[in-house]
Amino acid sequence: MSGPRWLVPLALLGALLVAAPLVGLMARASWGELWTLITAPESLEALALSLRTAVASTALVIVLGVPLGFALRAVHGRVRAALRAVLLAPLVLPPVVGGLALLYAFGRRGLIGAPLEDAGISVAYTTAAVVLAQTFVAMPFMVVSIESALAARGERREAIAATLGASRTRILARITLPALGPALATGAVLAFARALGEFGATLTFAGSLAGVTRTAPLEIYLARETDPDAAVALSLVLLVVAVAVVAIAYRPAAMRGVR
Amino acid sequence: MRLEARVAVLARGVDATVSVGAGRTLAVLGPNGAGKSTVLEALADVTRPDRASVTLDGRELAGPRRRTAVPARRRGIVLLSQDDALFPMSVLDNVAFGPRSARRGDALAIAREQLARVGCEDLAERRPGELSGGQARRVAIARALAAEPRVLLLDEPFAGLDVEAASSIRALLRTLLADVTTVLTTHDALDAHTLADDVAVMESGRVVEHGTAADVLARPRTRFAARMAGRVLIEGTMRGGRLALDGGSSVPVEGGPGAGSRAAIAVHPAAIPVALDSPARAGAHAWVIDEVLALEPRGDHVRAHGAVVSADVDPALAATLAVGTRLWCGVPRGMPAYAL
Repeated sequence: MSGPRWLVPLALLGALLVAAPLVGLMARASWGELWTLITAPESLEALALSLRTAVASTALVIVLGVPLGFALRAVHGRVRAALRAVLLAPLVLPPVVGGLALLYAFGRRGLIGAPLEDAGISVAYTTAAVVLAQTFVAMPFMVVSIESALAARGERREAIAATLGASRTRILARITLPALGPALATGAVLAFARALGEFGATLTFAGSLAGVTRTAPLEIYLARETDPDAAVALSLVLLVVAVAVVAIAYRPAAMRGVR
Repeated sequence: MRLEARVAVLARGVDATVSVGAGRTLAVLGPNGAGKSTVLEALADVTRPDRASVTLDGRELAGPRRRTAVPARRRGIVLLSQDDALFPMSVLDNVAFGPRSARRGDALAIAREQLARVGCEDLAERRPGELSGGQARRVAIARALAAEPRVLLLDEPFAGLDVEAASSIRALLRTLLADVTTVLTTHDALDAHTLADDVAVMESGRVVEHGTAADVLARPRTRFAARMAGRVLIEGTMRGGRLALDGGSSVPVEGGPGAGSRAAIAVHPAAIPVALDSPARAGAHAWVIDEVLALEPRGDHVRAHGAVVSADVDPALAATLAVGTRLWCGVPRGMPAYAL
């Protein structure tokens, strides 16, 4: 399907809109000093923190998001529609609103944060808060991925496995999860990328403490005026990661692991 | 392990009663769409029935005296479905999935033993996608048997196989099922003949006849059961050694109930010769005049269905027949009659 010819100029305009900023970023980069800029202490610190927190939140997304995807399949009708709307809200919620919401839930005087504070546990403005914010915004990718994969496959093999005497846990581990492998990978990769790029919710809920909560996007934002070269260099690193993630997550079905 | 059950799945119009004795094989015989697979799925709790009463060796698995039905995995009723449903793991792991003995080493040993029984020990390392249809069916059989089923359910075990694979698996099942309580579904009277001790004939979701294979297949009581058994049911009333047919003619028969009782004989349609004119000599047949109601092409011959008799005719003769044609049908003399 190539469609009518008048689509072509519009498509070119669209491509320009997406590609021009990327090219602009690359044109601005001082390629000679790139390595020095990336390996500068502040940049490395921010990148390392980003990597650590993104890995941690991806792990949390897997541990909590997969059960949520199953739970969403287990309920029906309006309950499912309502639950889905709530669970997927962070996908479209402005990140700063998410950060504010997190603050009123887990902040020092928040719904859950206040009792935790009394128990001597403080979440807001710590690295844990960064992980929490990233998990909050990244979880929907896993929930959607698992739910649609479950919807697309039948439950026949599971039913047959049950007649063979297998427990639900055994069926989940040996039959359902292996079959969900591609969906799990896609969900995890997208969640990782979203966590890595998180900015608004992190800034609102976790602040911008060097080495503690200042992730790469925050460092870029701070450096954009004082040290634009460093900001561009860090941006290029995130750009490369983003392109790689999209290439992996949305690869054509034919290229996915042949089983 | 005696299984007695009545299951109803209303959405598919099924409400069937079946029973099978310990170590015996019951064939549920019926055309496609009669609800045979649904009955098996309901017995195994793969499909949740709307109403069910399932008793296995006196223990109620589902029914009015239980609040919740025993779940599939605790029933010991293993379903082997038409699609084999092999899991995405090696053949050996597939078969080792079933054994209820917990230790993995034991499970693998049992799996190898069962694979050897079905003649597939050399396929142990293959993946399901690398098997032929016949091999996959054998592996699925091994997996079902490895689970030590109290009752084994086989849904159309020869469906989708080529003639060669089907006949070798038929021979294999004859030996494997000898001491396993089994319910299998089929639309083929031959399978019921060769594999089953008992037969239940299903029509539109109901069991219309139930009995020993010999009885149901040789002495069907309904036209439908007779057709499933590959015979034509000729009904009439006993008149001293003769069966007076509903069309007015009569046929000499062997045995049968007392005069005035309803009775029938079951004849192979191929054993009934036909003629367009009154035959000169009666010979071994009693000739009955019938009228063609329908002509059913069946591969190399055509079955002509009349009001009283059905007969297989060769295509050359069939080409001269039409609905309404009057036909002389030769019913063999001295067929055993039985009460209806």
